Amino acid sequence: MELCQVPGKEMEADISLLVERHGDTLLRFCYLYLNDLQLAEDAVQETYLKAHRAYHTFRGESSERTWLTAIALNCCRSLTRSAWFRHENRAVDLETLPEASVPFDPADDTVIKAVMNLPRKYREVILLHYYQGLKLREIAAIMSLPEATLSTRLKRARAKLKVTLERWYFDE
Amino acid sequence: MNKDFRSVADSRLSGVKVNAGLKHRILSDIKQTEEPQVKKKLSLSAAIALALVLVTAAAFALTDGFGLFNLMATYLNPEHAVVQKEAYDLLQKDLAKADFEHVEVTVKEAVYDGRYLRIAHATRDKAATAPFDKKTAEEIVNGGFTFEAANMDEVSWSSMDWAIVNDHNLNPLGGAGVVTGPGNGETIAWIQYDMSEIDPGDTLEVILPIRGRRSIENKELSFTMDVKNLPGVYKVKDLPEKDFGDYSLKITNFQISPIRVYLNYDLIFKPGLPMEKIEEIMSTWAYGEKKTLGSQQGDVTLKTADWGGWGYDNGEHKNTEPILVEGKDYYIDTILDPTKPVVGRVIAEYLTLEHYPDTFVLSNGTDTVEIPNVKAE
Repeated sequence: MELCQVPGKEMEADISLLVERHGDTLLRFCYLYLNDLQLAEDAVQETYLKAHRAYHTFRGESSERTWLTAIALNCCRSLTRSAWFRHENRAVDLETLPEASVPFDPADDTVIKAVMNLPRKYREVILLHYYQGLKLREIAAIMSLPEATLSTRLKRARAKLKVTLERWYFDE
Repeated sequence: MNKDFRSVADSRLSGVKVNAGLKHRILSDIKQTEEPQVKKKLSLSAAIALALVLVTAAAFALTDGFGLFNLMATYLNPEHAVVQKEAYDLLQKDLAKADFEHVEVTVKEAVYDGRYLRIAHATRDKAATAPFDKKTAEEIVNGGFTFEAANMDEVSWSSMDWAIVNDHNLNPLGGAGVVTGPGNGETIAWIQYDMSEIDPGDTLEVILPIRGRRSIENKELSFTMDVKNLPGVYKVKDLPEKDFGDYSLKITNFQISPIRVYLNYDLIFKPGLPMEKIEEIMSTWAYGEKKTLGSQQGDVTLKTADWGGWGYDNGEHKNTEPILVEGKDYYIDTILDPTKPVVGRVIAEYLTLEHYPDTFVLSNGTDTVEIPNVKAE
């Protein structure tokens, strides 16, 4: 199978640059997924290692961000499959995070916690769509699921959030 | 949502950044082209026994063959390859083959025992005229478990860190590894996927992404397994719960297969019990030296094959240090809501026996729970 060529693709991946461009967002994505900062760091570390190893297979059909997000998603999933993770207490505690460097509305913790407390399949689609900004078509490709399935899942995820966040973040 | 979740989350998590330490870890990893050093989350005694374990090629000398069951013993000891005769009825062979320009990948064996889907697959350099020698074997192990011909076809063992089974994405759990095989230019990998959270139905449609997404799109290495009848596999019914005063023990799953015996149980600690005491009791049931599963008469004892779990609902046993110092653990124990019970969970796997007792006895050396060996319908 011929690979699509992208400009500069033949050059070795500059992982350092990829860390600069996407590192913080990936780390936050992994934290929101895993609810554990140390684990999120492990996931990001592994993501970049896998990206480095697989850079030659990156076909440029998706953006760098989408590609890295797909790898990070798999890394997070791997970590959540470990036996100890499944039985750790997963109560969300944003207070233990490093101090925020920009002002934020403390009331926003409600929506963040609501997302982090969603069942995994709904949390995944919310984070990919609303945090990583991926289109349903891109999420469908990453997750190997039909777009229609993802659309339904997203609707259900929003419905679950709506119950938690009624008259808070929803207009309806 | 009428607020932009991305900006809300970015503001709240603005302190969460890739710091110099993490960046150094990432770049060091890449330099070494080794697996990342994942920090220890548990004490040594509570090591992640069910974590993915990669082994060196030299270890295959421990086995007397290259079948899936032999390979399961590679990083442990030979008795871990011992399974009951029905296990061979469960085993399905030569399920799929993918022919690329430089290598050929074959799913040699796969077995589903009601809990795990275990797979052994071989990758063969088509141009090779001899098995890999010791030096090359070491290079394969140190080079990410792949070799030049495989790289040219973009076949990577590490891409097998997930599989799609009946449209479910599964990640590996438990033992896995790669050895150099007896065939010319051949490596053999084995891996197992935890199926406990999905209902398999009568067949398993398995897709192995040996070349990443292209393998999925082109079904390069996919196969179907008939799992309608699983001889020798059954669940035990009427799982008991026993009260010991400060806590109770509840068996949550007991499944016997010709490959392993799987036992899950919860320890439910009553409100008011301090976390230190909970830890003490939990340790006796999780990995204590006196912990046994056997017969009432004491003439039969099952040998532990693997165990994991060790986490709490409503309680935390948190490591305060990112690494272990001189073998000593640094933990803070916390009960989140003292008015509610703390629940600890244990997952255990045992080697099989030809015959099992009519009643099993699970013990920590002091307290015991009897489990009648009655098959569920």
